[in-house]
Amino acid sequence: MKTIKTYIDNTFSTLPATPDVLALKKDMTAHMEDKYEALLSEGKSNNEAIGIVISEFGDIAELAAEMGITLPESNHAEVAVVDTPVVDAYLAAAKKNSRFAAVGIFLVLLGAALLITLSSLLANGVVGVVILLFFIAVAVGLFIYGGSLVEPYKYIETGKFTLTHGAKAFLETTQNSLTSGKTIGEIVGITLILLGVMALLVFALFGNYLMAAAGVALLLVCIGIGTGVMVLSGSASQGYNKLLKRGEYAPEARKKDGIIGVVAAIFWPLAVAIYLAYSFLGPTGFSKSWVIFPIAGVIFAVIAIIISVVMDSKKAQ
Amino acid sequence: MISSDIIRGTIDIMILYLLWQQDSYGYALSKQINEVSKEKYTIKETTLYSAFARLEKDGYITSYPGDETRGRKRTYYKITESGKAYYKEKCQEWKLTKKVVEEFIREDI
Repeated sequence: MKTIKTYIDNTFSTLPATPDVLALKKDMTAHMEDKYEALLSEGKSNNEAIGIVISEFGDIAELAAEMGITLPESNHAEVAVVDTPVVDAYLAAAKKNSRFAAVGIFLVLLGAALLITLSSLLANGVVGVVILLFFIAVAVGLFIYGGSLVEPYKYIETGKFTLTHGAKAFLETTQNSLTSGKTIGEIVGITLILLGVMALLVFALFGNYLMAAAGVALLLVCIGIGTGVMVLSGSASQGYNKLLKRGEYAPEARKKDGIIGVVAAIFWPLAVAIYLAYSFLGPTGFSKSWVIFPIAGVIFAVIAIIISVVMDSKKAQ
Repeated sequence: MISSDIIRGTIDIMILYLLWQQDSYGYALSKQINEVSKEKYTIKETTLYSAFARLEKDGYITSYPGDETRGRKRTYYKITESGKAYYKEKCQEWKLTKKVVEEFIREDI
């Protein structure tokens, strides 16, 4: 029922809200709901019934023409129209991209883990830094290649598109099949990260500096694998959210992401600069300077949450 | 499969015929059209409601709010006297159309 309401709302959003149009909208909603209930009582599944009801709706332009309403043509010209074949191609490209992204994230965190391990063992971080930089370079290559796969669909990534009714109906009826994969991925990913945190706490109990460093390295590897699993398993539903402009891809959420992105672009290079400066010039050298990164991570998380809360409270007003 | 281009000109006939039997509303009419056509034709909702708008504008049907059933209020349509005349006119036109088109139909080409 909710899908039908959403469908009608979206379809009618292109028409002016005159009394005539609103009355028509009410009638057509009742019509669709009657048909939907009749199909259910015939033994059709929820998805089948919604699919049939939407496919028998027709074309809103036909109605608009009859009511003497001209649909805004310019809108159609400027905004890309995404139909079902494009949706399929985009989802496939996004899935591939997520594989490259997952491996890239894992490599960066593995590199960081190696840096910590090596700089603690050798009391000389240069080898670790070189390895980390190498891993980052490979990861950046993967990110760029993965990104090039979805580059043709940039208008979807940036939200500058409209879905055809068929594509929208397809996405809305098939979205339920994704949630279980995403949930399992999230459970596995978070469990891995929590195991990493536990390992760190256990290692820290030894009160030994080397053991603590090993714990942090282990935690980073766990975060790398856990994040990779979540990126992979979440990619499909992320694609759906982008296409349906929901969740973090709703227009207001995008603004929030933009601000956090700008802060991140300044924050992380600064953290790296401080790390390198402190490692080379500071009293403890490379052996303890990596502590800057876990601290920076926590600070960044706090900043992101503050931005998020401030934006939400603004929206609430 | 019937293309919407071909059927468009004949929808008025179907709607007026059914409304002549009794006053009715959108969903009931679309169900009847489906049944009378032995499920060979399912009318799209936008086609049906466009036809309502057109027929009402031309004075062939009038609408009135019906009673509420299962929480939904439906708009009922009623055929007018000029609607009945228009229906008869359309039937004649269709017979002629059918005759003309028939001349061009060959199964054995």
